[in-house]
Amino acid sequence: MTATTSSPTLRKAAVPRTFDTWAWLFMRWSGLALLPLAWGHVLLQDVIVGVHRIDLNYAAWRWSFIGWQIYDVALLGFAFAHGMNGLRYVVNDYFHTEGLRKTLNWAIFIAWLVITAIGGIAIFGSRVANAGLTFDRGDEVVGFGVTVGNSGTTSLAIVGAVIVIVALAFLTLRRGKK
Amino acid sequence: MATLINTLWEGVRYRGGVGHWAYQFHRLAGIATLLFLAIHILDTATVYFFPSLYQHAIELYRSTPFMLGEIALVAGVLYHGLNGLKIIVFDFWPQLWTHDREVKTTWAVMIATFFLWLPAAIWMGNSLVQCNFLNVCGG
Repeated sequence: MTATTSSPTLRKAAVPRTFDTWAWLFMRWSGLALLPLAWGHVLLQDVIVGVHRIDLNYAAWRWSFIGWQIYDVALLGFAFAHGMNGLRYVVNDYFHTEGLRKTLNWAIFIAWLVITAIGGIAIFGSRVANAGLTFDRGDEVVGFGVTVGNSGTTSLAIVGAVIVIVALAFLTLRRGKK
Repeated sequence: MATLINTLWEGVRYRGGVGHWAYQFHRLAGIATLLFLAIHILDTATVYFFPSLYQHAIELYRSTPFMLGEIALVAGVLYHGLNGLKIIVFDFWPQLWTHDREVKTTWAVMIATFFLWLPAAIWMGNSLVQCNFLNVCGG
């Protein structure tokens, strides 16, 4: 194999920044943030805790911690926007009628807005709606030796780590571009 | 409609090799996860909007078909994440992107997905058998 076929020729071209430039970048940065956020959520809720130990008391208890509220709102914001934008790519690839494509794009936008709002309101409104519940889960182990009492702090540490990772990656890449 | 069916069918028929399958699996896992996510956001929102209905939603998630779906979902989320990481690396450092590396990293992603999924699947499968068939649910 010759050098011309094994390594691609790179050339720089001025690309105007459109909505899709930002969407493309968002897919990469949110994807990076979702690796710890989404995997952490699935590992904790589906594998370690398990659906048989989750009930209203557990869900309301989780959202009594500001740490889990921030973790979950970050997960909701990144994951659902990432997914709905991905759906937009798929729709634009497979539907070739302009009118239908426009309708579907609007439907995706409205569904994204409405479902994100519903999720966000639930995360921050749960304390009010479930003010009558009492949580007596002090010594219950959540996983990896983390007990219920200190898991709010743990989740804040995870969110903090995610922000640091994304910020560092962003700074590194910006420097590489110059 | 004919164009849509044609596009979808060509997506299966196209002989693009390993990279093409990586792309198709990425879309499939992404759309499946999004479908689950939309339902999951709405049912979890009942904790605020209709707390009395939340238990009913949880009963559904505890059923055997849903727990099997959950095990499949973990495979999809792991694959989409690892393959997405591969896409990010090749997009931001395009000089690394050769056909040879595309093939090798795709296989690496598939193998890594399997070995990350396996312990989770065993763990979840174990609680499925214990809770839904043996009635010895821990916790």
